[in-house]
Amino acid sequence: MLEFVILVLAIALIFYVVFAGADFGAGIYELLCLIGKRRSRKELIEKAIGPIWEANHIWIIIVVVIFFMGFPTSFSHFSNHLHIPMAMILVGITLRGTAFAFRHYDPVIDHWQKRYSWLFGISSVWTAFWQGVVVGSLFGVFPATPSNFYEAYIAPWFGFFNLSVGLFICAIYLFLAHTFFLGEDTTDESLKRSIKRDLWKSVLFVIISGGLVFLTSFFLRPIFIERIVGNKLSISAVLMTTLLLFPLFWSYKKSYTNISRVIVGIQVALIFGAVFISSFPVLLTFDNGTQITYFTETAPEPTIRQLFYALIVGVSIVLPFLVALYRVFKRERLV
Amino acid sequence: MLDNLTAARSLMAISLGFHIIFAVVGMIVPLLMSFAHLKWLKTQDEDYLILTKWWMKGLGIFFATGAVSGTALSFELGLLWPTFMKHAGPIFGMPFSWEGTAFFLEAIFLGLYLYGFNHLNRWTHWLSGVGVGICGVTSGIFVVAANAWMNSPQGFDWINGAATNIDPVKAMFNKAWLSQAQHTVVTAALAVSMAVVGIHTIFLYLKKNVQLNRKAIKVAMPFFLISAILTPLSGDYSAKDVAIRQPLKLAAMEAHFKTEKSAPLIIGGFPDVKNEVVHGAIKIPYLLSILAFNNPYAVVKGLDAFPKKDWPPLIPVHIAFQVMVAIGTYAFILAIVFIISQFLKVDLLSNSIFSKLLILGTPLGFIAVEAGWIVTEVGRQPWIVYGFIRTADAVTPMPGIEFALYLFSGLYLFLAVMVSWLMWRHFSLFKKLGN
Repeated sequence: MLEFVILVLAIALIFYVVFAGADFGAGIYELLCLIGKRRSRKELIEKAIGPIWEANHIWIIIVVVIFFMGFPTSFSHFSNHLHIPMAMILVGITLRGTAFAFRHYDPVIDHWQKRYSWLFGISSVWTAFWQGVVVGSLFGVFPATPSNFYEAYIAPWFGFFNLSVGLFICAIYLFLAHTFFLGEDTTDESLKRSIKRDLWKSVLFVIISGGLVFLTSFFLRPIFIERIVGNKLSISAVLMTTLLLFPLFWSYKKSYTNISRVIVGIQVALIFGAVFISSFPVLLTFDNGTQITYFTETAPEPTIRQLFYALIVGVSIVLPFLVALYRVFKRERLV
Repeated sequence: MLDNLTAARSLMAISLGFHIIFAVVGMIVPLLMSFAHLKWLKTQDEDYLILTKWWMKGLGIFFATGAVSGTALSFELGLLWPTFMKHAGPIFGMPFSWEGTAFFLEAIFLGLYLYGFNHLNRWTHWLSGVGVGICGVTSGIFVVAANAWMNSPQGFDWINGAATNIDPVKAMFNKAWLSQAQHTVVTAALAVSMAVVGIHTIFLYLKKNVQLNRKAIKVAMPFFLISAILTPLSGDYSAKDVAIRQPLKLAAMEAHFKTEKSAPLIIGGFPDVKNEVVHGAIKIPYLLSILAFNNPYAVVKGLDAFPKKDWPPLIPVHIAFQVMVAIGTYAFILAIVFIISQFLKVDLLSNSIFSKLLILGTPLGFIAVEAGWIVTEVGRQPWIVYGFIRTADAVTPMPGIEFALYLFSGLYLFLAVMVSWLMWRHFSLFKKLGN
């Protein structure tokens, strides 16, 4: 049962990164267009993500609930030591969600649309960046007996490695969004060309920021590389992600947009799957050498059993409706 | 400088107070919208389609804001109260896990509904709207189960400062769930329907789109009448439950200082905690004993039956309770008068005084909802888990929560202003419709 709960946790995280990640990327893309004084991508974004916007973001609530119900001790430590970046994420989530809704539902179309777009764009980058910082901190050590504020609440997440993971997450999200938009139904040829150009830039951004993650890890957080390289599944996933670049570029060239989307989705899932598996089963490592894993300090068996039932029923009910939602709004673009 | 506990409590109060408005709208507006939609499907009267789309757009703003403030709350529980979540998570997490499913479905149905006008079969589309409402109410009921557990904790043994023998099913089906859940749903329906009736009465009063607004009132009025009549019954059931489970909370609600037989009901007044008296209150003999235990001679425990260190803050709890009851009574009287007018075939919507009374009711339901949550939450203090974990022991050790309070207060204030402004724009356009 616990294994199933962990599996759903991993899948929910990956789904959040892939689906909500594309939404975040759309916001980052919007911001880049605003900075570059280029045409707003508002219509394109709303057409692509509007109907599935709310559903995409429920995955993170599922993750939080699984964490505090199934792994309360770790949740308590994360909440405590990563308080600051998590609070930053909350600010971002709140602002971008409302900015997107305000822009869509404001009955008067005027200069406020641009303000909403700025807010949507800035808060998208902000949230994605801090999410990366939190992900990076999972490869750090937490203080067992902190002696001051810095040790307890800053050191667990602050450092070049975490900041580079923040950048990498922004890049991944942008890459997802670009690929996602490729297949959107638009008759505007110049827009199509522009999206394709931007796509290559985002590929470059992913490569550079990914390189930065490995570089900072090499010097500052070797455990990250050690875990990825030392785990057969993780390194296989990384290699597979790299190999998938070839069919991806081919699909770009041939404009097989749905194939591109699927490949990119798989690549991002593989990257995060690799990260998840590389540290499995460790959840938290303390500076005195002790660790909390998925199998220690978990909730008692009756709780895990109830969580298992809830997830089984939840997945069985939600998935068919979620598939229906995607089909209804995306069917005209299926290959 | 604010101490951490005060800052964390204030932040939680602001977050909950903000979220509850959006949650309540998200629960009930889909039902109103679906009812209008059904009328359009059956009659093909375009006015009902306009109403459906109008409420749908308003719902879009409220749902999105509620979804993000709810997400923020799920994080805040851990960020502000890590010790509480460490102990309570495995016990009361079960309703949250079910709420996750309900909320997920709600978001899916909302996506189908908002964007489905030209994509779905018309009855499937309508059903997706109904689905939003059902899932919204279900989601609310599950969340209330978690809150009810904090008021009536069960399903564990507390040994040496930790919970053992955890039974999440027993915790979820705690003694307070039914009374809290039914009161939440009924009063949510009252708050929203009273506001909708009030807003459309404003337009009617201003002679804007008379037919359209009459139809809007016709859709919302049954919700208002039923919920307004049910509210006193639901409140009475809830209060009787509190009298048994949390007598201290009842004593605080009533500012009932001394344990006594044939206790009077204290209406209004200002509690003087130091001298243990209530200034300026009206006392109705026997009524508290009757209301709490159906017996005029029943003994009602006063605050003196409990150690002072366990007393909740009396003034906010007592005043909030009075406000809530007063608003419930106001709505009940309006509903009864309206029902009588229907039998007498009098058109009260054309009556200036009654219209003004309905207009006055627009914000009152939401004020009552806020007051109700103050009674529930502040009335449980100083406990975060009643009788087991004190709020002071659960707060985060991270210093400087005061700054988070300022940050999030500013954020929620900004959002409140934005939503109000957007709704203003929304209504300004509605006013012009059909003119």
